[in-house]
Amino acid sequence: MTDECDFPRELLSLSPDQRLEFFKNPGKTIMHRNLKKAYDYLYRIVRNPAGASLIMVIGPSGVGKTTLLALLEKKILEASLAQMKLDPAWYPIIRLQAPANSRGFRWKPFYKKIALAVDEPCIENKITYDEDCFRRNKDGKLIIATRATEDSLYLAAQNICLHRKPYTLAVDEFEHIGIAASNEEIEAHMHCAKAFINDSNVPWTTFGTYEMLEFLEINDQLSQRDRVIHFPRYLLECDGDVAEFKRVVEQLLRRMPLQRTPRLTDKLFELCYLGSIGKIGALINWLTNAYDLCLSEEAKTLTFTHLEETIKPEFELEKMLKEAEEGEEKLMKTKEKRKAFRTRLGLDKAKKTTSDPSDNTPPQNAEKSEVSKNELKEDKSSKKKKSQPFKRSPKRDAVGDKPA
Amino acid sequence: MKLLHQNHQLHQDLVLPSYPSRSRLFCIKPIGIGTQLTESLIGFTTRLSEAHCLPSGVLMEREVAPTIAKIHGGGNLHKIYDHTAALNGTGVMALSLASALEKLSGQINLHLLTLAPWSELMPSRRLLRRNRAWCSFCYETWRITEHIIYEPLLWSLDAVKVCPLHHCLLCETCSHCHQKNLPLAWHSRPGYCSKCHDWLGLQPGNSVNNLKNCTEDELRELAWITNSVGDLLASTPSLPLSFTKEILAQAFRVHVNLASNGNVAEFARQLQLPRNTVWLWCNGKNLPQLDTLVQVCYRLDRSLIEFITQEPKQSIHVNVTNATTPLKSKPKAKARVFNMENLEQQLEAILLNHQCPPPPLAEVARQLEINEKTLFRLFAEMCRAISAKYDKFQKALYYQRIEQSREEVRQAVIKLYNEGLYPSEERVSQLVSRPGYLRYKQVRAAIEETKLEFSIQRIDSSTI
Ligand SMILES: [Zn+2]
Ligand SMILES: [Zn+2]
Repeated sequence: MTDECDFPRELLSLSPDQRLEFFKNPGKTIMHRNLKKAYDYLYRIVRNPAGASLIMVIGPSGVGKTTLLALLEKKILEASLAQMKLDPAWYPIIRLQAPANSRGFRWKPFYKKIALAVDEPCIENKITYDEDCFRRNKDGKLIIATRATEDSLYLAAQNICLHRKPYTLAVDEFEHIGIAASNEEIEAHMHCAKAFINDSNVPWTTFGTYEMLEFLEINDQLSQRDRVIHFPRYLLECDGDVAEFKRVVEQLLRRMPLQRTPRLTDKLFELCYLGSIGKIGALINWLTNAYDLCLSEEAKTLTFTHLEETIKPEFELEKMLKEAEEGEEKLMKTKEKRKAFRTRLGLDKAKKTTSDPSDNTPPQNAEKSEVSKNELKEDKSSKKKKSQPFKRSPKRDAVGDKPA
Repeated sequence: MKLLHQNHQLHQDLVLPSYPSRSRLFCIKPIGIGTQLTESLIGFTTRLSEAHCLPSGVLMEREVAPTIAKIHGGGNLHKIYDHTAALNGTGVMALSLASALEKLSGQINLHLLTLAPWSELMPSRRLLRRNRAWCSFCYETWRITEHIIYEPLLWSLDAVKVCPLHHCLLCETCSHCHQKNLPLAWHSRPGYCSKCHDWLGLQPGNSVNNLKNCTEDELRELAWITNSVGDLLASTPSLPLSFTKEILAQAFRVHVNLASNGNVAEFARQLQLPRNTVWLWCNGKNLPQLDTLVQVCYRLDRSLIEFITQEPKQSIHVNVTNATTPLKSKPKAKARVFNMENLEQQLEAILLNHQCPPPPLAEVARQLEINEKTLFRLFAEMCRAISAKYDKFQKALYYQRIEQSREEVRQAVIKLYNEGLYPSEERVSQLVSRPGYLRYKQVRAAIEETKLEFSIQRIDSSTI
């Protein structure tokens, strides 16, 4: 453990608010391994989509998807500066959040957000120039729609994509299209999104939780042009993950302007993992609250008490874990899954599974990575048997329940 | 632990780089620059509106007008409806719209979509059509071939009567609603009527040839003129920056030399134009209108560009026989060279004349066939005097009528009393010749005054 800290020493003489602000917004983000991996891969596809039209970045809530989007936006802008000078109308990336509405997702506000993202003029005055807009009343008098209709906003948003020519339309919180929606409605939403993508010829990069997997399951004629990128949390059964998670916790502790940087003991590490279930975004939020508490007590350093007081209650942690595990179950590529699939296809029918030496390989050594469309299809065909052949490893299940 | 990357960056900055501000409007490309069918600035504006899903009027009012206001202090579509043609023209309206759109869209050189580069060659009088004109064959062809629908600048010129591609007359009336369109209207859209919003392309069953009443000679002349003007517009981007009136005067002198040995009178005679007119052209004191200039070129068998830029290699002849319409001399252009002395005398005469009633200034200007503003500019003092005289007379007339009305009211009140009727305002108003004057308080007061006068009389008589 190193004593060095990662903040300007003079912060210690500043007010607690200023110190908290530094921890919250240091103007930079920690590049951890899973983030870096998703980022490099995503940037490559977005810059050169090779036919991909709908890229879905899927990961549990709090894993750092929005940070990933911010990094993507920044890198695309940086790479585009020279060209932006030459082409003053070009937006290299259009970024928005899928609007949330408790009664369900609506497209009209979505199109408006596209327009707002590029500072489009007179959004409320859009017209379609179609007969829909220029109606005649029963006396033959011409009536012109005075407020923008959904159709006119659809057309306006299309034109924005056609004329602003971004590499991608990046939509954060895309799982919102599933709010309060039946399967039929979700399918209709997906068709609507694909029609928009086809008409405007701009690929979408969507960011969302594992709920987005449902969209793919429902929409059975999965397009050849979809691409799924898995952005997972860190898992204890993988040595590399443990080391990386430790490194991030240490780095975060060093960034807290404190008299004494807390030592990362095994016990502290376990608590940090338990309270964040391996999600860096969730970890940062929690540590921010704990640090705030620590500052309010004018404590010299962060203690277990600060962390325990601010940790989420078990029922919430359990919910988080359940959500993450269900998603991982579908997206993780393991040798077991592959073997079962080969058997289903009839490739391995002669071999008994127990005779295979690779059988001893525990799933925790499985390679976790982005899932290409082909592998996703494998998942889809197997999902009808709701993950029956792939029981979770008991070791992994124990993680969340470990006492602090 | 081998996964711990000592080399790769542990932090990543999240601050977005600063980048040049983005254009407010789409940067759509103008069509056909450098060709006969260069897009017009008005057409470009309507295409830009359509791309933004906005009525042209909204785009002009909300986006363009504020930008123009900063530069030139004006410009709202409602206020300029009568002059929208000028947005394609040679003057400041066209240039300020072009620069506003350049600023908003990031597109450059939009003045090439106007006649502004030719301002030294084309006087603005009768240069542009008052109404929008179009070739319905062009529209239909573009629609079928999925070409962008747009409006060429050529169509907006008054001298151009036919389509250079289809040799049919340009239309000015919508075949659906039979109305004409303003050059730029609130709901303008390329290819569609701004009144009924119907498609302006050729409808099956429409007459294929709307020129069947023209002779072959007329047709040839119309086509020649269109091509010649079109070639001139096509040359706009390669226009020498130093194009001036003097170049045109020089061209006239060169042609006079070659056609009639430098004899202006003879040249004018051959063209059947007033000598003075041609003389003013040759000296650069006056500019021919575009339609006149192109007809002169037709008679010389020299295209507009040849006429301006190339010295003829051999002698040239004025050929009037192939021309189908006589050259118009320029009646109003003459009025521009005012006979100041004569005008002054006429104004004096009007001032001294005790004509009753004296005419207002507008009437005087009409009689003298001169623009009222021009007249005022030339003879401000006398114009003020004429206006003052008119005002004074009108005022006197007003007081006279008030007095008359008061007297009538008095008589009416007396009459009503005599008939045993109460003199209400309503009854009085039925008896006077100008009931409307009762709105003036002096006239209304006459009722009360008379009533008072009478009650006093009655009191007087009763006491006796
Ligand atoms: Zn045509
Ligand atoms: Zn019409």
